[in-house]
Amino acid sequence: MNGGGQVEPTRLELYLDGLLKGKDLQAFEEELRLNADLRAQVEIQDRIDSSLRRLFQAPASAPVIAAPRAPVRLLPSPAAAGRMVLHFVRTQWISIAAVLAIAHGVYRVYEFFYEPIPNTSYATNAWRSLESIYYAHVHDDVVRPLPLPDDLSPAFQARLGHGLKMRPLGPEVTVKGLSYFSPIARTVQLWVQAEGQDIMLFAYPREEDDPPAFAYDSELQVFRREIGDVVLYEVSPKRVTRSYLLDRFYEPDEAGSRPQ
Amino acid sequence: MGRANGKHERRDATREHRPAPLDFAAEFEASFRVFWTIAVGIVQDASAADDVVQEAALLALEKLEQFRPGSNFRAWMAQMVRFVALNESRRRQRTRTTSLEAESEMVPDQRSQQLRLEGCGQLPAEQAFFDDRIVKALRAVKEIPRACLLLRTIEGLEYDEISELLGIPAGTAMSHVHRTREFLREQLAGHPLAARRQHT
Repeated sequence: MNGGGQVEPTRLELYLDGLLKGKDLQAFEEELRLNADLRAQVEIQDRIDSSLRRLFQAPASAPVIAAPRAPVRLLPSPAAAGRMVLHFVRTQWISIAAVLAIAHGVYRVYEFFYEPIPNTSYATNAWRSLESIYYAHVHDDVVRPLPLPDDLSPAFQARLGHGLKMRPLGPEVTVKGLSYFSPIARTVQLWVQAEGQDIMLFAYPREEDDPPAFAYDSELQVFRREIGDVVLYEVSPKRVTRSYLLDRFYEPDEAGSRPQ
Repeated sequence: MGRANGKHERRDATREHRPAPLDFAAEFEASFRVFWTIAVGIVQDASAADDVVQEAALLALEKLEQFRPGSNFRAWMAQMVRFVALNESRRRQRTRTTSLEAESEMVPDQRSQQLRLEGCGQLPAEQAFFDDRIVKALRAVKEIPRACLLLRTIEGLEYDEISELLGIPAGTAMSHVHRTREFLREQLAGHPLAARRQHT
């Protein structure tokens, strides 16, 4: 039924469509009056049309169609997320800047934790031994030393709860500055130079003292001294002939009791 | 730069001529009967036709950006209705075996009764049976010819309009209507109601 192609409409169909006009219409109506079969065809068709109108009657009114509200989503759908990523990638300058920033950040993290300090096997922050902190100061710009005050006692008191005093350093010693390394760590670090080498002094409360472990092939040496509740470590290269700092510290109540 | 500006101008022009949702509702309301007739012609089920038209309207709202300004909204919307209805019709055809089996087990009186209750109100049994035969005969007709017949018979549309709505040539629309009418007359010629008419 209903194969493709067009066929020439019969006069009956043209009549049913209301397309017969003038003499053609008169002739057909005359034939209709005389031909019972033809009349029956028209009547059946009327009957069918009337049934079709009743059977397939459209509803009285259209349903209420409103613009759909955008669904509330806590997260974008996968497709929307994909479109967002594509849109972001297409804005090339933002993408380039983002990629560079991410790459720089990754490199800085890598450098901070894993890149060895030149001429050593220590990374800046990989292992916070005295040795690694020493190299962090000497070879890297991570720590900016603070100016050395005339009286170190308040710094010791604030950091270690013990106000050690320091006699003036000899002319052979050049002061680089003070470093606390971390704003919360209970330590005072003093950075000086003597014999053309960097020397660092670390001061800790006795209860937090942990004997330093140096690498077996380390080029550094360490001198240790306890004064009251404070432990002092002086770290210097092995070629430095002696300790320059440990004997400069004293208890406040010892003032003037030791030779200058 | 000129090319980029042109692109923006075109986009702005489209935005300006895009029908607002309120206009869409008015246009939709005005042609709703036609859309529904296309849908029922294809799916041949009144409640399914309601759903089809509703779904097509929502689809059209989603794709409103694609509506070309100055083009025929009714034809554009009819395309959506046709698309959704044909999908629905194919889906129903896949699940039809079961329902046809159940229906074939009904005796004629039950089928007439069902049809009368579903769509025809209080009709004489003979009339209901006649309607039943029409529905059954229409099932043998393909979707688009069936939609052509209903648009012509129920909505009284010209063949040019049917052609525009269903995306077929006007001559093809006319052929579909004529052949389907002839087919229905053949199928119902032996029916007592038709036979009685012939003898009166």
